[in-house]
Amino acid sequence: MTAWLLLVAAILSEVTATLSLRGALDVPALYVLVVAGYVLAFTLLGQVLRRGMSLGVAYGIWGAAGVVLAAAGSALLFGEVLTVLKVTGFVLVAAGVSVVEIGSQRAQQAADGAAASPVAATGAVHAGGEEAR
Amino acid sequence: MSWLLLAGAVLAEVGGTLSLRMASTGGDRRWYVPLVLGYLAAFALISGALSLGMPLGVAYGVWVAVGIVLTAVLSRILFREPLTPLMLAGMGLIVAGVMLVELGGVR
Repeated sequence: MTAWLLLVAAILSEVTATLSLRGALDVPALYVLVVAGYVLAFTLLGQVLRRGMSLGVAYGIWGAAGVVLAAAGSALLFGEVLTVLKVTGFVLVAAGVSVVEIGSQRAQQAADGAAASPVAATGAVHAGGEEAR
Repeated sequence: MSWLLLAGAVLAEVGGTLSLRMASTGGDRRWYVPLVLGYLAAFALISGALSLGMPLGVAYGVWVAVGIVLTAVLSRILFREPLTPLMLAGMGLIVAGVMLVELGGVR
C-alpha cells in the first residue's frame, strides 16, 4: 500500500517537473522546480522498488501516468488543445493501468499461495530446478 | 538518422532504469553511475533527434511506449518478475494510449 502511495507521489513530482520545464520558457526561476522535481521523482521511484513493487509495473504506470497528466496539465495551464484522440488515449491508459494493477495483484496472490502451500511450494522448487537445467 | 538517435535514447534510458532497480534493491551504490549516465545520454540523444526535425509528440510517444515494453520484458528476464498475459494486455492498452496522447496532437 505504501508503495502505491509513493508511486503516486513520484508521478506527481515528475509531472510538476515536466510542466515547470514548459513554464521555464517564460519564467526561468522555474528551472529550480524542474531539477528538484526530477530528483525527487527518481528518489521516490527508488523507494517504490525497495518496497518490492516490480520494476515493469512501477515504470509502466509511472511513465504512462506522466504522459497523461503532463498533457492534461498543459491543456489546463498553457491552453494546449485537447483533441478527441488525446482524450481517447487518456481512457486507454487509465484502463491499461487498472488491468496491469489487477494482473500484478493476481500474480502476487498466486505467488503467495504457492509459498503458503507446501505441496505447491515443492512443485515450484521442482519447476525452478527444471528451468535452471 | 533521427530514428537511430531515438533508438539510442530508448536503450540508454532503459539501461538507466534497470540500473535504478539495481541501485535501489541491491544496495550497491556503484549502480548510480550507469543510472545517471544512462539518463544524461538519453536526454542528449533525444535532443539530437528533435534537432534533426523529428516531431516532439512522435519522439516522446515512441520513447515512453517502447521504454515501457522493453523495461517490462527485460525485468521479466533479468529479475524474474511476474509478467502474466493479463499484465501484458494491460501494457498493450497503456502503449496504445500513450501513442494516441502523443500523436493526437501531431498534424
